[in-house]
Amino acid sequence: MIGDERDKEALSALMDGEAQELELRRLLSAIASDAALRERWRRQQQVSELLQNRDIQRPDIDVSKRVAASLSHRSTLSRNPLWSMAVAASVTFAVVMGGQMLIPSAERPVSPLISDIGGAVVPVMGAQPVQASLGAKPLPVTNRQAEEASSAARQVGAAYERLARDRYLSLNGQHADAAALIHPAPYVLSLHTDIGAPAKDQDSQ
Amino acid sequence: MSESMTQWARYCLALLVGVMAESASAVECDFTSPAERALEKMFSHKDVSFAGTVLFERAGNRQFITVSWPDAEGQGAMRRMNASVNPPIERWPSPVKSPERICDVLRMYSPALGAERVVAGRLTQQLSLRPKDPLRLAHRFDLDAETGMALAMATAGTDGQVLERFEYAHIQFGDIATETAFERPDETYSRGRAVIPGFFLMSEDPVNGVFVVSDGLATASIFVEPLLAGAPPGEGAVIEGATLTYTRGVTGGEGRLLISVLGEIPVVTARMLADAVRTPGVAD
Repeated sequence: MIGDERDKEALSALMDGEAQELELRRLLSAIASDAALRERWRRQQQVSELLQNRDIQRPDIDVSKRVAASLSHRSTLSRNPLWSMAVAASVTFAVVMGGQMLIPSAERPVSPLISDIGGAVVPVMGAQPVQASLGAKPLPVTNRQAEEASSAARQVGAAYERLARDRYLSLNGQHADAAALIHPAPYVLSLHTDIGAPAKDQDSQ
Repeated sequence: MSESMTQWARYCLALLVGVMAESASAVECDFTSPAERALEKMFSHKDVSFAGTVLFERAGNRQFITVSWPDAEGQGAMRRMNASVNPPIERWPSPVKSPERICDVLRMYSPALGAERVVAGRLTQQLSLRPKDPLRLAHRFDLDAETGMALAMATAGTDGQVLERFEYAHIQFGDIATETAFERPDETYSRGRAVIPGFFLMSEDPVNGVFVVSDGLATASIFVEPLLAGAPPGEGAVIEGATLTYTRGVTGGEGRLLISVLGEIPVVTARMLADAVRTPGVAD
């Protein structure tokens, strides 16, 4: 709760241009992982835009039903081998999770173990170390399920990363054409599509 | 294209024109400080013709290219000198020139002048553009003291690490290019509605699911397409130099969409842009 209030205050400071660097860095970290905070920021900006009398009638990128209908009629760009991996991962994931609600992998917390008080290694003279149960045995099945779910989530995440790499190769030319009108050195953007070294995974930025 | 799609495209075009006409406004800022004037000069450099050689580095790769501007049609030309023997000439467009655009940049970035240094045998002064929020990357330019053109540029991530850079090894400036010297293409800075803080729609094609947003300096393209049946929701991202590619699969009662965001932006910005895509069921 205290953290929420702090985030709200930091957002307000940011909107007023009064946020300090350290606070900005902390806010960046919070916003990256908090969809609600991102949404709050967006709405706060809309209010600010409104107060400054700028146009915000439809601030969203609208993909209405009619648009979706037209999308469904054209051949999807995503028909490539990468999706077979994504689909395979989804089947694995569905089996492991047993119908639980799926959420984006990066936002899905690692499932906690039911019991992690599985005991400790107790040295006994003249014997090999054994594991004491302390009356509460770990639940190996649950642990395995959690590990498999985590593994499946990682597979889905990896599939989307491969998909992102595929999208970079197939769509960056189109993006570069649009961005060239804005970039101070448009010719640089043309080079982006030519340098074909494998893209690095995006861990953090 | 079917009749319904044609009608939908017309509807979207009319809406876009209407929105953008409303958003057009007079210049909202003054260029008073030396840093602001340097920024203005940088965006106006295209009035001077030039030819030179550029070294470009990103993600462990480097390339030399020859660059010149303008040709008879007002476009730029370039050749990739490490790509092949006798590389072909490629064209690149002139960037838009708009005081309003500079105002947008100043709204989201803090300019500051830095040290002088020599680049390609010419005196330059450093101009840094530091983002005012975490939705943008930082940029550092070395501007030619005479023309204001960027002879070197580096883009850094939110952690300060340089993602990509270029620098002229040699450049020769020519005459002032006048309006009558060539057929200038119809370039306009069309700022549409705000989507996320500081980013405005530059163009939208809902029928094909392609949207372009910009803050006046950084650009992001959003591609929306159907998510293949059976694919789970999720997200992933890769970065190549300063260009981030972010994908998100959305499923559920609101539809099944694959959203791809490409741009010279941080991950948090790509996530916010994906958040801004209204899915079927919510829109109508």
